[in-house]
Amino acid sequence: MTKQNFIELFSASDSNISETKDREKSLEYIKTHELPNKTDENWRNTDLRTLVEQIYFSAHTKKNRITSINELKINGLNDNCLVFINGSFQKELSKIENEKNNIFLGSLAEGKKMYPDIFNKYFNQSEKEIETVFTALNTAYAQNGAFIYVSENFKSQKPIQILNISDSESQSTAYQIRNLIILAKNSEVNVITVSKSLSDGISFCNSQNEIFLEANSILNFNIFQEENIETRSLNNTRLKQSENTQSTVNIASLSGAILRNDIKIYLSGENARTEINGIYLPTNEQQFDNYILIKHEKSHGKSRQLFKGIIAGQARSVFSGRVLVDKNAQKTDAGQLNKNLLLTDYVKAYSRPQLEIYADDVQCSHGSSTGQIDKEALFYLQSRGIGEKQAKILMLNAFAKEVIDKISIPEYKNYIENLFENKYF
Amino acid sequence: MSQEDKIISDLKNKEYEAGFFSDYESDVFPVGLNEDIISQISAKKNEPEFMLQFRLKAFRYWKTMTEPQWANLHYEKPDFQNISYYAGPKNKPKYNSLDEVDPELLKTFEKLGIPLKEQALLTGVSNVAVDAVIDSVSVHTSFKEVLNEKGIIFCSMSEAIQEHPELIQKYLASVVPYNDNFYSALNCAVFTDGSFAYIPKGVRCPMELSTYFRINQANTGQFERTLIVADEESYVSYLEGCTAPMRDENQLHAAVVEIVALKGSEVKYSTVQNWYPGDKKGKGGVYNFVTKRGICKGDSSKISWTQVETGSAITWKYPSTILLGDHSIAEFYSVAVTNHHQQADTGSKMTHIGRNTKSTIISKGISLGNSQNTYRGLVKINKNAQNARNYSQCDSLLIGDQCGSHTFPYIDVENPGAVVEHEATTSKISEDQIFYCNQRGISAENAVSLIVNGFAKEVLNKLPMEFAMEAQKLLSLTLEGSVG
Repeated sequence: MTKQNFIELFSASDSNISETKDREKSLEYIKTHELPNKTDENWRNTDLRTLVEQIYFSAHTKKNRITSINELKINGLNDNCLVFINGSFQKELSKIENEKNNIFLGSLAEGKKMYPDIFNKYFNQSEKEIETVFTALNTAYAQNGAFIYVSENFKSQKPIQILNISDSESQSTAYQIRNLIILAKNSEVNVITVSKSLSDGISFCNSQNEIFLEANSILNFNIFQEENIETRSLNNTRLKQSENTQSTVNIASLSGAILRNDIKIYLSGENARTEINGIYLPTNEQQFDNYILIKHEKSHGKSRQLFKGIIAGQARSVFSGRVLVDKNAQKTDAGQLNKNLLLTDYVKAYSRPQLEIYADDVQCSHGSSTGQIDKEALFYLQSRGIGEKQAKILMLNAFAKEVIDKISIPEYKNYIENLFENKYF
Repeated sequence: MSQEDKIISDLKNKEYEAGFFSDYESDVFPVGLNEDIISQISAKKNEPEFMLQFRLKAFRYWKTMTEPQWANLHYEKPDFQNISYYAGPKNKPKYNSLDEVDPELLKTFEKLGIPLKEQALLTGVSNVAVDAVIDSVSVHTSFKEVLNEKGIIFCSMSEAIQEHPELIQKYLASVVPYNDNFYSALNCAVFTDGSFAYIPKGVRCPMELSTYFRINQANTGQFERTLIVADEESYVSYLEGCTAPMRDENQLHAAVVEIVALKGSEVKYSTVQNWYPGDKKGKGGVYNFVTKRGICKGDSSKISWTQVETGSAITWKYPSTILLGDHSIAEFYSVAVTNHHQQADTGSKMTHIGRNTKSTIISKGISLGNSQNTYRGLVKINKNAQNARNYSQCDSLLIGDQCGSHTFPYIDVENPGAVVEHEATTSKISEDQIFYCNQRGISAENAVSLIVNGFAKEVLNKLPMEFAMEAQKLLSLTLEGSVG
């Protein structure tokens, strides 16, 4: 599909989220720019051909045909769930507890209506310059998404699930989703976005998350992707952190055709800290990419990245982690580590741990290693009577555990551990 | 005053010491670039037809290309029509003995501390055969007879094109093809001279081969081309050094270096790059856009690059190795120091194709003043490169709060049997380290010099002795005045 097709497709959804001026600016950008392709440094290793060549149909007229989403939810997490099917909000299926009015949970459309001031203050404020045609499309024709506002001094205990379901039984569908999460001063919240598919049809999801952390707030944000093998998903997440804030982002990419996460974290206040971890397990002909940018804009910031991949079949993966330290971000402490385990002969793993430093009083390090299962360790286990397959699974588990252990929501952690065991048994 | 103090105080009073301009008569082409100029260069060099065709092909391709923009460099793009593409000493370019050489030229090399007289070489500690290139022309090659006895060919590129066209036709542009990149295409079209070395089968070259490049004329670009071919089971160590006078305008240097290592051979290539870096305000200086590439063509061959980069206003340079032969080895050791307003974007590329290949990258970047220092490297393990192994380490040291240091490694692995590791750190010299030295009576400036030398030692140790001395001297020169 050409960019014009995409405009026609997405403009069909009755979107009234974006202001006219934002929409015009985005459309202007689309006019003068091409869809990302291989000549773009940032898209060189992401093969978008299967995504772009496919013809999609709009999802907005589709009828919802499910009545229960319990199977799709994360076991054990039954409170606070916002459900979206093909980008449209399902109020009947969602479960919302606006705890003592200290937190607002709902759809973006509702949020805009109820809290116009907050909405206008934050919506579309995280993207300094339009990045790609896809982000521009999302801004121009944002359809709906989750809106979470945590008010001052409120520490939310119950994790919030945003369940994003693709349903494309007969026709390949494309839709957009736009989430907006705001943490006011001294607040705290746990969020899990869960992407799943209901059928095995082809779908394309162009999603964006905008997250703002005001002073002293704490965010735990999880991205869980387990979709059918025909799903193409571009996920663009931007976090803007004020002083003394702390964010943790955990990404688990389990299944999908093309999963690309573009995560940008701006540490715009002093003493802002972030930790981002990811595990990606592509197999067959899947492509899972993580493009991370952490921008240290003020002093005393701290960031950590840990990404691990187990790549099997004929899969491809890209990890690009860029740490940018501004001139006045002295005393920055940044660390970055990427490890890839290659299981078969036909995989491709690209690793780009990058540092760009303009301040002198900093401590930055990065590391990357790519290899296969250690044969000696395997032999050691076998010599103690553990079968080859069993030994391998043991080692894969150990490899992934470092990342999975970073997850702080116990129910979610259990859920992933179980899935992981099933995946390799 | 002890010997050591004297050295340090000498160093302090020095500026860019190679910045003089020699006034000998020279022959300069008018500025501009077109097919006519290229034909003239070719005619001037008495080249066979195949060379002219090669140049024109490259030029036609170059015209369709645009300058690369991806590097982390900011500078005014050179105007390629405002450069003279040929300049050389006017007096007849070929000498039978050193006595015939223009005395002004000899003085130039004496000033640079490069003895061209073999006697001087023999009595001294050094044992180096030198090929000296001024502007566009190779002036002199020493120790020819000794090398001839062993069957080693070491001469200027123009001579090689005349005398060994079969080797040139076989190997020239076999590693860096004419359409490789913008600057190499330009180089193919207009290169004027350079060095050629061929080491025959089973010969171990008894001395270091060395080329010395110098840009003298204003408004000229230097486009030299170096080709080193090591035949089976041979060994050679090759050194390269460069300087330019201080000028206010930017000069362009776009060289291409190609190395072919056949079965079982080993090539060691060292560079000390000291082009004029511009003044303290960033005015002037050389644009150094260089393509260097080697190929380990045969099994068990080895190429080792060592570079010390202290000069140039802008450096754009990625010595790379293609590991084609099984069991081949490539190494890259680099120290890049940038000061004032210098910018360097440099690193290495290792392409593993053969089985059981091994590569090592050690890169040390030191940035001072307002400079920007970037490491950019690619390690690519191809599908069939079973058991490939790479280890990369790139450390950066920041001195002063206005400088920048960046690391952009690219790691592409397509074979599961490969083991690829990359490590990097960036930090400044800690106050504790300086304090420790101060405590023991070492001044802050000397302490910095000491720490930097220690930081770079891993790489400096890989240089041949004569060069290691020069490199250390250069390092302290560049660092001077950085503290306080």
